Amino acid sequence: MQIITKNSQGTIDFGKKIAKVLKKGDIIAFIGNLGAGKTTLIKGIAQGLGVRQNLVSSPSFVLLKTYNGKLPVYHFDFYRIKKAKDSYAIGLDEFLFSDGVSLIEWADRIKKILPQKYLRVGLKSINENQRKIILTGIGKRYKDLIKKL
Amino acid sequence: MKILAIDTSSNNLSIAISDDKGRVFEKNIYSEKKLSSLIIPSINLMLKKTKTSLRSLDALAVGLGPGSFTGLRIGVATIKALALGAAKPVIGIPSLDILARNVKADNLQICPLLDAKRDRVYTCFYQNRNKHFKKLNDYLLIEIKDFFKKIKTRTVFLGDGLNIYKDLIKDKLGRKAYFAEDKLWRVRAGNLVILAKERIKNKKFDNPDKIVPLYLYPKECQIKK
Repeated sequence: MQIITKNSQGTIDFGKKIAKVLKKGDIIAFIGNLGAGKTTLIKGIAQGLGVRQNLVSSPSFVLLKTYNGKLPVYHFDFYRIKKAKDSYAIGLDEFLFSDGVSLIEWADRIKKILPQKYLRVGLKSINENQRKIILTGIGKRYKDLIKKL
Repeated sequence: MKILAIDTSSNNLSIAISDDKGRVFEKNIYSEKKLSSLIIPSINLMLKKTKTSLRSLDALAVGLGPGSFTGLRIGVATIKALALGAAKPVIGIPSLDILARNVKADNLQICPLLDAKRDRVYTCFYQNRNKHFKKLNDYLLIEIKDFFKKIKTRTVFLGDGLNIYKDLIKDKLGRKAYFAEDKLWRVRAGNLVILAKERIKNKKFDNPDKIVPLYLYPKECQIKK
């Protein structure tokens, strides 16, 4: 599935739409360059899950931020991770396979240890405002999830 | 002998304190993702309720894992800090050894099983003959499908891994498999006290500067200890 959003508000609105079909244990991997809209889309998803938008920002330094929404939201950012194994140092699996929704920025940095099933979200910047968002369901749960959007 | 013992290898924070009359007091608290804020107040409360002071302790003991990455860091760091502050010896014991002590099973192999996520388990095999408890192999992090190949004899299973794998084990092993009742699936600090006392008797203390959690990583699947 592919959509083009007109501006950052459009990206946030699409995030809210994704939030509606999420349930506990879901994992989304975001892949895109700096400025491609990963954090903006995550702001939309978090807002859709009942998190105050101004709480959401990239946890590039701390690697993980936790928000309390309708479900716990685990927001990861692996921009500064060099080896997939380093992510064990925050106990990644204890969050991924738990009671919340995991949103992973720069997921391509930990390709080797991504789980078998997840929603892959690729983002590209078309111009200053427009963003191309490509969703790929990996595993049945996430193929079904895309159909609901 | 007065010992403060904790295990934080799972979402069960287990704290035990023994006194000079041979009594052991134990408390288990569900600590999912709240361990760092719970641990100090919970230990403090246990010390108060048992009228024990840190200075009066003979030793502190901690479960080393394998298990929750963050949980173990918090648990080991806490015990080290308390031991340093009170100038007391420290004893670290693998959590699988502590868990195995929940069953007595004379004629069966004992197998504690902890969920390591991604279809893997932490496990080890033990034997208990004539009150002599023996560990039979290295601690393992192993895929569940390979785990079954390791079981050749009648075995009693226990541990939180059974929440996920009990039915599968029944299917694969049939009559070879026995299961401890589920109240025995938690790693309990009361057993850690018993194991720590054995170590104290043999004067085998750990160097508080060197003691670290027992982490098993997927790639190098076995380590010796």
